[in-house]
Amino acid sequence: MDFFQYAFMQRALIAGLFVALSCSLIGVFLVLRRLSLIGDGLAHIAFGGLALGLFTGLPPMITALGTTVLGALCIQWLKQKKVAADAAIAVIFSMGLALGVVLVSLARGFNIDLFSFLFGSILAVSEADLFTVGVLGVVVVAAVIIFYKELLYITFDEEAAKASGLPIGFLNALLMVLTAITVIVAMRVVGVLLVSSLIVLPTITVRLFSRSFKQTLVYSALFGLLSVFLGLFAAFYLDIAAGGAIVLVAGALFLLVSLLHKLLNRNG
Amino acid sequence: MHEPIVEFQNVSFSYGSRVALQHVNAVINKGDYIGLIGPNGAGKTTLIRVLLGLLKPSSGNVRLYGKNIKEFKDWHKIGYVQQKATTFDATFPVTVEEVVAMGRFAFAGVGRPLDHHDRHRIGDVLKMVGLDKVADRRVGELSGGQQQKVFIARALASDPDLLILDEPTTGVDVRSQHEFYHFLHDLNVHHRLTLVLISHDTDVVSTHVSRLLCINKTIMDHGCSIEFLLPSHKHNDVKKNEQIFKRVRHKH
Repeated sequence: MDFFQYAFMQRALIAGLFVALSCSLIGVFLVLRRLSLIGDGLAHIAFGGLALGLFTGLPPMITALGTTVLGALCIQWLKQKKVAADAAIAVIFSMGLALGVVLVSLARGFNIDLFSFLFGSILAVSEADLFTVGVLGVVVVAAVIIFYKELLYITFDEEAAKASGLPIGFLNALLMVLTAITVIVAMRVVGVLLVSSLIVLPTITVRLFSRSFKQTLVYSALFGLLSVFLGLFAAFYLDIAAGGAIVLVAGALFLLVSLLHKLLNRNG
Repeated sequence: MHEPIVEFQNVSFSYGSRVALQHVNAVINKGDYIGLIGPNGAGKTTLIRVLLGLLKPSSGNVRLYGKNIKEFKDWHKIGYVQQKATTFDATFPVTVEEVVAMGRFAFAGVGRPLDHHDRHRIGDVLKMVGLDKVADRRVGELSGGQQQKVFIARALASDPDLLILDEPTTGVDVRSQHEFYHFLHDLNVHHRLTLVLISHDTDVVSTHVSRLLCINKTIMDHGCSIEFLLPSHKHNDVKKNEQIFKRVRHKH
């Protein structure tokens, strides 16, 4: 396999590992809380942050991380002000995009770099990117493990979790910030515009057959990994956009599992 | 003898301009089995949400176990079973055991997984409510009555002292209801749990509880008047309600 001999491909695979784990794990909590669209909303803010970085010459990953975390906390704040979740996401969504578009028009267009951020690229992951993606990915996975009980409780039954004395405000903000970080982790490989499908697809695939919450988390991670690695292979051999390939694989896996599920249930 | 564990002192609460609770004064003592009754919109659930710290009263005080609610930290002592319909997504991938385990989360600190003792307690509670055989099933696959037991088991898993149940028999068939009240009686008498049962079904509740608290924005000082219990004033029902009162007073 000449595949593994290329340094860029090795970097893409390592980054892909963190992308798959953080997207699919955070996705379980978001989908079950009916916040599936939040990934998409935050991705648009990330676009605004990227444009800011490219415009000012600051590192785009860092400016994108800053604006996205800020946007996530804004969504949380709007929700606490009794703005409906979908409306809060819609507001932040277009604000991010507006910022990006204005900056792009100010700069009279950007270089090719912006396109790779939008749709993901296996060539784009630099050593520095890999470091950032690795650190952020570890933060997301570690936080899910450390706060597993608390995140499960607020996801299943927020009111009872609150009544039992859990710090709901903190946990909700934590989930938002982790989602923002996940978007940034996925940005290089999958691209901001395709992140939300990789967050949602593994969970809805696994929900077709899983019984327990733990099972849902573990199998979602596996489906996430499978989608990312198969997608990266396809991107390498067919010379296509990595993000598109990964998301199409994840979609195909969902279709396959739902067909199998139907067949097995009919016979069983 | 009377050890007050919950004290409402002149508690009022409004949702915007709509008054839900007005100058509520009431005491719940250790060992009580209380039926909190009142018509729809009388503020039953609001009062409980204030007790649980989910809502802050606009005026007045709540004391729990002798402490001001702001200083109260032992929330595991208070088990709460919500009205099921409003809280539960039947397709959620979570097993009976996983839901009951949530009742132990208050003990295990952040970052600490449940230990041997927690697991043991979860097993005990599952056996107690008769769900040990279905511990690995998805909660959504169970019948309405069994699901209700799951949530009661979760509340019991936190070793509460006070158990509050909001309309617990909604959607549960009559036979299971009978069994259920028997179970509550056992909790109250043998496990020395203080119980608060919220209901609009006066007849059923009053046959089981030892004290009625009647609420319609405020607690009725002189017990529940018949008119209050019965907005429709139908003759037969008036008679029925009189009987209910005799029963409850007799127990007292």
